[in-house]
Amino acid sequence: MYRYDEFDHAFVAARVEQFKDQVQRRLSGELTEDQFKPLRLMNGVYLQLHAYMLRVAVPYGTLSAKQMRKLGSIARVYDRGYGHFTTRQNIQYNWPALGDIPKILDELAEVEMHAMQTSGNCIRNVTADHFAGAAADEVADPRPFAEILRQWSSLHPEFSFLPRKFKIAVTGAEHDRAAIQTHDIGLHLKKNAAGELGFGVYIGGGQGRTPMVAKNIRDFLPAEDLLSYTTAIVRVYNLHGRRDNKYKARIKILVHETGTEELTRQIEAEWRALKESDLKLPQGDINAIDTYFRPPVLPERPEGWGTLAVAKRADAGFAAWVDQNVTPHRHPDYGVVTISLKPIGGIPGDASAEQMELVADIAEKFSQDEIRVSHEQNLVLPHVALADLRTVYDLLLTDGLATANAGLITDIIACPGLDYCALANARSIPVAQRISERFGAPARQSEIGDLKIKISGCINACGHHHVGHIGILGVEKKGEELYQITLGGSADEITTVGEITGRGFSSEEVVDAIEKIVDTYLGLRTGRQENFLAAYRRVGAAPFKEALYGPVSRAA
Amino acid sequence: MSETTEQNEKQLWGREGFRNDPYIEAESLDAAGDAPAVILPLAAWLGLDDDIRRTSNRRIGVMVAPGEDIEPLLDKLDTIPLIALQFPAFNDGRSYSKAELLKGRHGFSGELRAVGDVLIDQVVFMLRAGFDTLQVSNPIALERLNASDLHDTPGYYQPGRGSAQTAGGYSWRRTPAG
Amino acid sequence: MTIKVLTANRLTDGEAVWLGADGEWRETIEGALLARDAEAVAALESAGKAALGANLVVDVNLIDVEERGGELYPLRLRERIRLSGPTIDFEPRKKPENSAVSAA
Repeated sequence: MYRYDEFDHAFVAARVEQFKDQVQRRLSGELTEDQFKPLRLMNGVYLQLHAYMLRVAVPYGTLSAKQMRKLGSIARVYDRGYGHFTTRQNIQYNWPALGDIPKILDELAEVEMHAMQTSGNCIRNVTADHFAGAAADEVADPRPFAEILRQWSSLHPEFSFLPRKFKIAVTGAEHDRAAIQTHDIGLHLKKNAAGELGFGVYIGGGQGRTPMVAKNIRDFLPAEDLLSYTTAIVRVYNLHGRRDNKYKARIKILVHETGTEELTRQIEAEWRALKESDLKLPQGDINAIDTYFRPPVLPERPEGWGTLAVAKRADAGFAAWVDQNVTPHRHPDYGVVTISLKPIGGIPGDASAEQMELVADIAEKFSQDEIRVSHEQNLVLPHVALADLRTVYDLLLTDGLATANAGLITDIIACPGLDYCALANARSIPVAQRISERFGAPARQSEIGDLKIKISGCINACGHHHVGHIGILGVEKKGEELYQITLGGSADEITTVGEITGRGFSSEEVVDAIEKIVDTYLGLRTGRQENFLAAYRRVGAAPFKEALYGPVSRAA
Repeated sequence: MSETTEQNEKQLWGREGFRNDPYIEAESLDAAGDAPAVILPLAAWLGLDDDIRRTSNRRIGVMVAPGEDIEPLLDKLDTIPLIALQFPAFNDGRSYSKAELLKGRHGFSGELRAVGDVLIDQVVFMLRAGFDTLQVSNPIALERLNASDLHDTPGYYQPGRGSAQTAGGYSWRRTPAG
Repeated sequence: MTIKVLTANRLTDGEAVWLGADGEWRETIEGALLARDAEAVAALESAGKAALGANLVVDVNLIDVEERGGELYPLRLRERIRLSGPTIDFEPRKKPENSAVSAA
């Protein structure tokens, strides 16, 4: 993985010193809140309902054991013993004191981490496939390019005050695990017929109150043009994106109002003027960054095939976990392990300091010192030998980290909602917990199969409800929480925005409503091989609406 | 002079420090009296007869608001002594891209000036985007500029003015020049 | 009119606080200064402005409350959650006896 050089260390240290000075001036009263707010936001510091919140970037979701241990230690020393992994490969601390935050940033800098650009109208933390560098279906590792983008976008003089936030995601496999079509720029790393690397480029995806699926504006952009083309896109957006209404300020609205063809023409014209500039990436630089992401040398461990088979037969719980949470690695003797942060009835994405330390220890011994954070709010051990799976499972079991539900109905994405968030209108976490408990029996989950439920506590859609197979949006109506349900959303290579079923449900009703939807699916699927999304795409919304609202449905 | 008026006074600053500003802002040449250097709004500037602009013995600069297009200026750049790009609020970043285009792409060699909500935390961004001078009235910005405390970083991750490529470093990285 | 009280977050640690009848910012709504008429509301507003200016608190807001069973009850759920904290059991549990898998 990437290691800071002297240049990076000096840069981050200078930023921490600046923020230290700013916090000092705020606490002494020299800076007013109005003056301080933009400065703290540039360093990932929000004010939430109960306290400040610090959002720390995990660039493209990659962590070492040492870094994870530091995240755990920060949770224990400066917070209340836990942290929350978010849908954008960040970690949030919910209770830091303002005066402690510079110290936290100092400690993060020690392990080559920071909180820059985790907020504000700038290019945010660049995200990537959480299985990058390990997945069997990967064409090339997207992380070297995510790292180049991370560097290039850091304190960019031209792009630090965009009309609105700007999110970039990169994937390197046909099966999109990075939800690139819901991003401002989505990059699909691939090879052309000549075997050269390049990107399919998508722009204008986004969620929030106007969900849009990104448009493909280029099938193959040579890798060397990554920065010039990205600059062209962001420059056209910076100059022409709307600034009169924050809800219409994302690039998706510019794409929509200008038209994909015309906007693409403007971007291409800008790019032609930039193509041969200093932004052209020399192959030597790509190679140098790529070196940091060389796959680890994995020793042959063929004995794992036999021992795994035996261990699975001996323990149904272990077998279920392997089947659900372990995905194929490019090396046949290894697997990619998803550590679920969704215990039944738990808080999606939360991890205690002890759990973070345990994961760090396991990663050091059994996963080549590597950990990933997924946008699905889980952790990943990317390189575990099949022969070690039983040991890893036993260790995870000791602290509630072995829930066998990756991709199942209880693997719910949920934003912090009204329990923490100053923007929320309704709670998300308690709804996730009750759904999780309702469907938590292993046999029932397994029978239902792949089903992504995503919950947001307001229209900003941090919980990605628009692209949940079942999406739940919490709103406030007459002082009460009300939950709208959408169906048929998806954020993979065939991205779709879910459709609203009809009137919303109260907090008491919403879990029953979800159960009706699930039962309807079970009743109409052609077989277990037809998952919820496939069935929905085949039959449409009508049977589900009828189950929810009766035969005289509002859809009529 | 009271401290308050001193703080609210607009001062002109460039890389070498504070300097006198010969320009006045005016809605039209007529309104500018006999000032030797004047900044006109874009529409007024474009409305001037080309001959007047070329033969006038006064310097006539142009002010561009964020929503205005710089396109009509591009074929006249060699006759413009000063372009002022506005920042009505520090977080309206359109003028950064225009600065980059004017200086980087179109080789504007006159004075490029940032006016409006110029704060200390944006000074380095403005210089790197191509601004030569900044019109400053924010008290903290004035104080820090006086102390030559620019809130700079020791290196940059993008090409930009006033910086040089680091020897043997990645192509996108720069360090402050000289 | 509904009763109003003044709430904010403390500058140093962001904790939710309410302006007490004694003029101090306290971590509970109990003993809060109540405004029952326009004049009292104006007094709360100016106290809030002063505290903001003195950099004691940030995000100052007037909220509606009722007296219920001798206690002050904020009318909005948001404010009730600010008062009593997250409605979920958020503090990490110690290592569970049973694994999540077998617990189901």
